[in-house]
Amino acid sequence: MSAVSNIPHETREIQIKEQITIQDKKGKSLSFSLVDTPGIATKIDYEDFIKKGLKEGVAKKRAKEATKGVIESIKWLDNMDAVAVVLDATEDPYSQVNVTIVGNLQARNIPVMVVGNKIDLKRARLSKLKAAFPQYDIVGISAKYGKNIDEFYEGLFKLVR
Amino acid sequence: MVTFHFVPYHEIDDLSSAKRVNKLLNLVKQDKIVLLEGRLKKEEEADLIEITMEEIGDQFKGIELAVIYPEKENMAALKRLKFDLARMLVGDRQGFTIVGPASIVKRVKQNPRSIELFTQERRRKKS
Repeated sequence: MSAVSNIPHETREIQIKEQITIQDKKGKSLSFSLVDTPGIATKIDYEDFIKKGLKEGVAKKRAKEATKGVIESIKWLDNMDAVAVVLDATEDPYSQVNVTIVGNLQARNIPVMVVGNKIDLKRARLSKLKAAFPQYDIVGISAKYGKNIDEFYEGLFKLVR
Repeated sequence: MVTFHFVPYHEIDDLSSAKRVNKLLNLVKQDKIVLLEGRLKKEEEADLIEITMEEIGDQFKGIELAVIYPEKENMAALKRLKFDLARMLVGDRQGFTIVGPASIVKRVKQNPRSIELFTQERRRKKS
C-alpha cells in the first residue's frame, strides 16, 4: 500500500483500502477494510533524516509529518477490530514501544497478531520475537518477496474467528 | 553529566492519569532521566507516547522509555494471586520504569531482566 524506503517514517499518513477479500485453503472468504498506519515511535529528530541524505528543510517537514502520523496511529488503534503488528525480524523486539502498544491492545481486548517481516534476511530472528511475545502467534513473512503470505492470511482468519 | 530523578510510586499514586503523564514528561523535559518505582497503566503509557509526540519540537525530540516488570508466567499460582491483589490495592509498584529525553538517551537496549542505557556523546570543544 505504501512505498518502501530506507529512510525512516516513509509512511506518514493513515492509508485505508476498503473491501479487501481473501480466501483460505478451505475456500472460506474474509472481507475487511485494511488500515495501514505509520509505525509508532517515541522520538523523532529531523537530524536523522539529514543523515540519510535529505536537506534540512525537507527533513524538518518530514519530521513534522511523521510526528503527526504517529499521533494519528495511536488514535486509530481505538477503531480497530483486529491488529497485525508488523515488526522488523532483524531488529531487537524488546523496544518498550512494541510492548506498550501490544499490551494496550490486549488490555482493550483487541485481537493481535505479531508479524515478523524481512525473514528473507539472514539476520532475521523469529525466535527472538517469539521470546518477546510468548502469548502471541508469530507469523514470519517477507513483504518484499511475498514469502509466507498464505500463512499470514491464515493468521488473519484465526485472528477474527 | 547525566541526572537521574527518582519518583517513588506514592508521588503519583493519587494523581489522575493526565497528571501522572504530565509530571513525568515535565521532568524529562528538564533533561532528567526519570526512574519511576513501578509502572504506569498500559493506557497511561500509550498516553505518554501520544503526548510526547504532540510536544515534539525544536527543543524536545521525544523520549526513550523502558520498563522492567516481573514475569508473571513463571510465578506459582498463589504468588500470582498475591501479586494481582497487591496491584489492585496499592497500584502497580513492581518493577520500575525509565523515561529519558531522546536528546540525552540515544538508545535503550532491553531484555526482560536488564536495561542498557546508551547516552548521546557530546563532542568536547578543542581548547
